[in-house]
Amino acid sequence: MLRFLLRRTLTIIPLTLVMAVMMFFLMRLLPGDPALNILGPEATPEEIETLKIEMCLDQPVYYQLANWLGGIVTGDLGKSFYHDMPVSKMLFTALIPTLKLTLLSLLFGILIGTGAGVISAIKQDSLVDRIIVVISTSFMAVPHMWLGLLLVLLFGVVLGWLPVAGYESFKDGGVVSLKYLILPILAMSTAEIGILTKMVRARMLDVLHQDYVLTAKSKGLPFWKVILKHAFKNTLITVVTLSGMMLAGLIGGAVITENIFAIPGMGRLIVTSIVRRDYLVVQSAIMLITFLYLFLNFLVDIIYAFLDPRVSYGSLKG
Amino acid sequence: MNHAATHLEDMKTTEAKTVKKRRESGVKVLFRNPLAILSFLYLTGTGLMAVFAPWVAPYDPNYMDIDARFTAPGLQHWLGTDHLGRDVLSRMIHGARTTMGVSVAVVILSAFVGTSLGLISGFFRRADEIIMRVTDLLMAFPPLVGALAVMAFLGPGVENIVLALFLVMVPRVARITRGETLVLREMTFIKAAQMMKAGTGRIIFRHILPNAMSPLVVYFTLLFAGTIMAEAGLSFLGIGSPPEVPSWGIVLSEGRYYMRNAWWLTVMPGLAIFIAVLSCNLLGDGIRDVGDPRQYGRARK
Amino acid sequence: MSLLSVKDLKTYFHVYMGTVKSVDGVSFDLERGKTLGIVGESGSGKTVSCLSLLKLIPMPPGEIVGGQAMMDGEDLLTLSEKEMRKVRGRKISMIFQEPMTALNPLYTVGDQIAETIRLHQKVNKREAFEKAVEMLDAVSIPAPKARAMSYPHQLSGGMKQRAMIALAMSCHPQILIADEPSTALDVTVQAQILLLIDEFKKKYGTSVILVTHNMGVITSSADDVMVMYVGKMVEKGNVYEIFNNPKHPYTQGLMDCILKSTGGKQILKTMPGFIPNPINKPQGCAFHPRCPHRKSICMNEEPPVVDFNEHKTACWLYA
Repeated sequence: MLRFLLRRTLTIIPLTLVMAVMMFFLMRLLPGDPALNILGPEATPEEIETLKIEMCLDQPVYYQLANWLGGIVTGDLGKSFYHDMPVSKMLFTALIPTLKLTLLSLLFGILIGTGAGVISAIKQDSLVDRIIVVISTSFMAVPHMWLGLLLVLLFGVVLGWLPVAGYESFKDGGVVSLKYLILPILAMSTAEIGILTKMVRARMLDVLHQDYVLTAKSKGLPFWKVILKHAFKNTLITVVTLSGMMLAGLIGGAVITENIFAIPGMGRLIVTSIVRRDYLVVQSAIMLITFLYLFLNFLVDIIYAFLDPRVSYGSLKG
Repeated sequence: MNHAATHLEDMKTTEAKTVKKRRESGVKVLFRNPLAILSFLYLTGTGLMAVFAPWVAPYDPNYMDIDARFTAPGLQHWLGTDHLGRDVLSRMIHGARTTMGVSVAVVILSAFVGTSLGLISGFFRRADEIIMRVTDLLMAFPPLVGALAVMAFLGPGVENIVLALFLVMVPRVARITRGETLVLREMTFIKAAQMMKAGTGRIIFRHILPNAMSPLVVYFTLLFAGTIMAEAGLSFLGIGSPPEVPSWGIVLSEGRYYMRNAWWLTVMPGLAIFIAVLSCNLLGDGIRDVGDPRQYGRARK
Repeated sequence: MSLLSVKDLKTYFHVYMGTVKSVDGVSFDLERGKTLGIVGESGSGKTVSCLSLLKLIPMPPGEIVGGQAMMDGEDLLTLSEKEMRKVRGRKISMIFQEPMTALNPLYTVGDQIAETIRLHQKVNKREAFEKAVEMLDAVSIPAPKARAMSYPHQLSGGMKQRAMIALAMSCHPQILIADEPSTALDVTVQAQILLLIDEFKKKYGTSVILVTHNMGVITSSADDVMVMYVGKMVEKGNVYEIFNNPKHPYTQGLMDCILKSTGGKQILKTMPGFIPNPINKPQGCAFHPRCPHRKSICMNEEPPVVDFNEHKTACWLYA
């Protein structure tokens, strides 16, 4: 188990490092002068010169690279040119809403998707099953932004039950602050719920046809115990694996959803910074969100190993 | 597989034998599935509309008729007009050009490059190391964020979207092809071919590729769906196709500010994306079922 | 009186292409402390017959259409699901062909045996686990305590099948159904597993239904034999009778398939033809397309069961 963890940790580090270097060169690849790109064509030569010195653009490339990598380690990522604010501080403020949104959506998606998938499989070919299959198939095809807008139209504008946009931190608003997250979570998780339902259904059907389920039945276990104890736990492993994949979709969904609902998270920060040509922020934010993604996937792997004795007891090549 | 299931499986094999004639023409089986036909028709229809957009569209997509702003869908403008009095239907028909065009380009490019890389990876150890490390790196980014990163540095533009989405999709295609190749390589008939000293090229093109094709084609339909979504998403965020080039995402994005009084600006383009993605998924399911003999043994109601 | 008496059991599967009569009117008796061997090719309905007794047929598409299975004065087939649960694992238990997949990979072997014990006996968790260890000891698993705490993937195939037997026997059932218990194992392990089942039979007076396609297994373990062909009984009787004096052409064919040592020369015969499509069974006797003694009546009418003094066969040759 320990070796498994260690090996898994060791793969993240070089990956992050290479990514950081790649981001650095991507920025250098921009056509034209980086300082000019940031300041726009109206900038005076003096302004450009000052910025160049501030950004260490007058230093040799390896120095700049070392500076950037060092910054990642120490957390000093420089200053945003648009806001005149340390990048790390901006990232930190933006990280919490995104994390909250993503994890809550994941939780919500897993609950609904797993539940629907299991019910669908148990009642295979029944009316309930058919309805669930149709709904999950359509859910998979719903674009995040469209659903977000439709939800705003229905619950925000027509019914007026929920705020159309905005965000409040838990510290300020308490439980009531969650009302800002309801629509975004629905918009983000729908597609993932569709996929999860479909996969859980398939996996559950597969598990229900396994010999050990028959063994469990032949012991005299009641139906619900066969399902919950023997079949479901095996399906749960699939859910854990899938949640890693779902994270990819959810983070993408967060970027779009935050922009629809004006939630001050990473996605909104990245998009507004791209529009403002605040490249340092873009570069750092993308790094952070990707690292977050890798880290959450790492957690998923740990949970997986914890659930499946075949991984933790080292007979599978993990 | 438990016993009753094995037994059922036996029966299904027998059934599969009796339907062998039907299975020989996969296309025929596919077209017995009404959802797959509808999906196929919708996608081809949209594709044709996109190709012949200038002739099909009732208006110039960028022609502004200020007097006709926010006209609700009706006889004059089937899908209404937007805040500048532009015909939504015409904008969407031209938008299909961008959205479908980008998707077709991305899928073809990543299918070609990804499959080649995957095959190479599955066959040559040394190349495998390098290709897999690169795909690891590219796949470390969540898909939309990866595309966002590329767009951030390239700026808006249709070619840039193609490049960005290609970089996102290609490692995934390569991975899947490699997986299929590695499985197929261990199969007896490939070993037999190798023993008979068939060349690597012959083995790849005559044996591996045709057998890997079926799961890959299914994956490509999903990829197509994903690309439509991603293009719409990027354009919606304002960092995809430039505003003067209509795309479904752009129409949706522009319409959202007028959602309160012009619902059609939000509903119509979203519906177009939704149905297109749904069609791809259903078509993919249909293709998958053709290759799956279990389909013929389903319980009868 | 026999322990279990099955009469005219019919189990059908309704699938897309039609109805499969997997078990179509099978009758047999199981005596106390004896082993009944059920022989047949795959698809002959032997497994489905056994699963029907425990009502473990997937429904739908399966359906027990008719018949009776009397045990202790009650008809198993009419029991409610709740009553049936008290039969499963306690009165009748079952072991399967694939020990690799028959145990849940996520629980330890001991836990899975203890689960059965707790289900049918009033014991606490610790006692149940101790009993599980005892059972593992009884099936000659070395270091039973450590093995009880192992997960299935840490055990070899033979070990797993032993553990399965321990699980099945843990509540001392009156009937053990062993569905091809040795087929998936190495030849040397096969014999050990069959010996183990015999041992339990003698020790507890358990009756065994041994399902197999291997005639060799039958000779070594069974007291009575029933031969099945596409859902029907074709021959039934004492094991010596069946082996020394097979009546039905199908049984004769099966005997010929066994490797016989005849004066230093080994001849392996095979039976011509294939098992028919279960949906479109041939009319009359289902075996007639492969039968060397085919008569015209065989193609049109189902053969009656002819009784030669407790040795029964369904064939027109003797009618």
